[in-house]
Amino acid sequence: MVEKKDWDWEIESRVIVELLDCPLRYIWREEPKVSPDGEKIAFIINEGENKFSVCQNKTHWEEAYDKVWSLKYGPDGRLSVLALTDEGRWTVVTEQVPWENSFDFAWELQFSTDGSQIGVAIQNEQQYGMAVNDVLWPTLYPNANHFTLSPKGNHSAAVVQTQNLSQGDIFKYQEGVFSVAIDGQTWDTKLVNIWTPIFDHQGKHICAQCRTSLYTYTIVVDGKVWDKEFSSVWRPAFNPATRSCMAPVRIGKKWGLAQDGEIILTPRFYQMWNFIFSPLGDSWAAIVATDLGKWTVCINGSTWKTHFETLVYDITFSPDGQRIAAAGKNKDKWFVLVDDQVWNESFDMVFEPVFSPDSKHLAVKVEKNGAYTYAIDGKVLPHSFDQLWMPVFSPDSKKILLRGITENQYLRAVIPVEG
Amino acid sequence: MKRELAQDIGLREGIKRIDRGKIKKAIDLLFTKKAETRLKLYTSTCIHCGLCAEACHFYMSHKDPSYMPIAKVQNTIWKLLKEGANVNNQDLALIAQIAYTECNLCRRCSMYCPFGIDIAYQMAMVRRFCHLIGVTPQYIQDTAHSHAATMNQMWVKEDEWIDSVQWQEEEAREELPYLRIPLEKYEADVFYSVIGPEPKFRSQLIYQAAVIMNVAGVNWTMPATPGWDNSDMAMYVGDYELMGRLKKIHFETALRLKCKKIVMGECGHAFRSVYDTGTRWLGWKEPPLPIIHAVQFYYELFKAGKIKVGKTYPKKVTFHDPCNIVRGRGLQEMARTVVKAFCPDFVEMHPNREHNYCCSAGGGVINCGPPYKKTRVKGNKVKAEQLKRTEAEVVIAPCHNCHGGLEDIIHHYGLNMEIKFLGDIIYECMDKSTHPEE
Ligand code: SF4
Ligand code: SF4
Repeated sequence: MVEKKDWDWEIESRVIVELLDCPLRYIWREEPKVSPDGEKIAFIINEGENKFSVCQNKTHWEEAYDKVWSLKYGPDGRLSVLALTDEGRWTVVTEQVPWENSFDFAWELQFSTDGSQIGVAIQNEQQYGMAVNDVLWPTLYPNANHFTLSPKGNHSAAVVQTQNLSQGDIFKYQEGVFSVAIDGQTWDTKLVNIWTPIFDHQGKHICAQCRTSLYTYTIVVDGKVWDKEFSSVWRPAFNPATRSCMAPVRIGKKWGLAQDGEIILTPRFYQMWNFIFSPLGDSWAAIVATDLGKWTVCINGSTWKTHFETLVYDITFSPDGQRIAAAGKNKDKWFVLVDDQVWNESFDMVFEPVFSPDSKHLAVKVEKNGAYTYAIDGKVLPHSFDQLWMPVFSPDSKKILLRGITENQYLRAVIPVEG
Repeated sequence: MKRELAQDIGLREGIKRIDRGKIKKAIDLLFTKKAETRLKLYTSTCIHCGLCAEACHFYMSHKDPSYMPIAKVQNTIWKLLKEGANVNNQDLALIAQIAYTECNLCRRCSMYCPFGIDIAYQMAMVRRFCHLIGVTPQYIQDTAHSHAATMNQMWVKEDEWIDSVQWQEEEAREELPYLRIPLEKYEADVFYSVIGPEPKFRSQLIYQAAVIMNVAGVNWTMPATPGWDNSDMAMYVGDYELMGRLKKIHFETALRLKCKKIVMGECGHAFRSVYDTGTRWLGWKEPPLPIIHAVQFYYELFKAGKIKVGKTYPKKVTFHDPCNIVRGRGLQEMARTVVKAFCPDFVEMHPNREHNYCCSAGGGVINCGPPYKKTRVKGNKVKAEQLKRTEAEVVIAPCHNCHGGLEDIIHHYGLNMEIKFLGDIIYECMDKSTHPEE
């Protein structure tokens, strides 16, 4: 893996693939994916007679498969797919090398933060679980959802149905048959429902939303259910510094916040969700609605003055935790919202904001009139692209890597950040 | 009221497990000052004129006064208001039975009430009450359980969804060799969502939608994750917390893929939930992304010349206006524009448009399952007569529930009629020669 600092941060603009309509042998080609460093572009291609393969920088993979899908570059730049072999089995293929294990079905291909661990949801003989780096869970279950790899990739988890339910057995269901399986091993706790298990940074702990009856919602951490119950909850998060767990909770009809089972922000919002901690855990933020159709951001308990009537989405902390950005929407116009200020221009779409490592700059992919560009610190780049990937800052925060397609050329460019 | 309690363990077991504290809590929760004022206003405004009776297919068909909208209200919510937590268990089960299985929440009756008394609102409130006390019909409760566990209404497992979409893509390629169903395509113009039964029982609809999308050159996608199902039996059970959860994942899946708009397949109740009820419960005054029903989508494609009539449909057809997209959203003329373009031999049923009779399956009634089928089918004799009078060979109904309901009626009353989705007709008759070659 080439470290980010060693990527090419010098050359201003370089065409990686000249002509996208390459004369190679394919019947059709699916949507392209590009590598994190921008040096590669890949497509799933159909070679005819139900044979699929991958083309990367105009070079074919040697193997073709009966079906290929879920083409993804991992964070380390390795290219993976899910492929159907001629034995009718699904497997993971990374950089052309298939796993030894194969499955009746595989999906939800995912990576650890550094890309070294690759996880996938699998089904064998109607039993469900996960496999990570070609190692299958020892126990599988009648059904599973919410397949999750820990940030380091050292553990994997899913919400599993621990026993079969016969059709219409509503009362058994209400006794609780769901649990979380970690590396295939379930908690002793069984609950009516469990959603969105989240690993802490080390992969040692898991918190999740749950329902202990049809009416009582709360949070479960490592199999232990919080004492307090609520009329609803949303996805919790672990504080990266203290490992305490916080989640939006609903009491009556209002939303507030609880930490380790205790209310720390009295419910007062019409809605409160998509809760996040700052990278150092010293701040938190959530999207809130102060009333029907009045959306804003709440940070450490204070709400911003700016409100949007249609949507606030994709809230993001700067690495130092001092700044917050989000996308806001009024009717069909999207805006960039940062530190309670709205950038002047409106767009047809605003993507997830990206802060520079030093937290001083903000780059946002935006769409206007069918073309894509970046808005950087409030200024929109003059060039636009037919396709554009998310901006990546250089480790010194002075440059941005742009990866885009224009006039049938895939190029990578390095743009200096002003100021 | 003469009514037998159905053989339904959801109701029969439900009342055995009931505790009075739960009833009191549910009453306190529901009959807030505001709600009580509204309900009392209804009670005092109603002059018992019975005009709503002639509006309700259940009464019109059964001709039993206990099926009059106002009677259903009197026997449920007014009873609860009057007796409070003292209402007895047997009555509670019957209250649930009426609310879930004898009212489609179709809102036809409110149009005929001189005071616009909203019967459906009151029946929905009764359902909410029944959910809170745990007395709900087994089948629809099981569907809500599926929603909660899998985020779809049919216990479709994650791989089964992906597999069935990929399978339909492969099948459709036999017909159009370059056809694709792009899974997980970012920034597509259209995020296409369907209801749980499509991958399970009606996968040809996914096939047909794919053909229409490909021929019309639409930049579209479907997700490979939960969030693909737009349906919502939680809304009809009265589990609004779950309803909100379902709508959140549906919208957030489209937002994750950064799609421009959501197009929903031909389903009425899902549209009601996504467009209105569920969305507002979450705090969205309007949907966070534009969302249109397939009927409107087909209309727009047709108007833009993207779908063209290749051949006309040879049979005599009529059109059934689904409550949720016609009374609820006014799509009646758009539907007729497309139907008439493809079907020269078109005849209206009477009454029609917003005055049309409900299929009697909607509002979650068909989802309450076999114990109620007889009441539901007998409770829609007027629909059978209405269909019969058209002398049409085919009835087009752009809604899944309507299909289920009409099928039972056509079968029970021996009508010689086929039922089609609008997509069936378009698929069969559109000009497919414009299918692009990569
Ligand atoms: S079924 Fe329709 S017409 Fe009959 S009471 Fe219910 S809402 Fe009114
Ligand atoms: S039409 Fe209105 S006023 Fe007349 S009985 Fe029905 S609800 Fe009461």
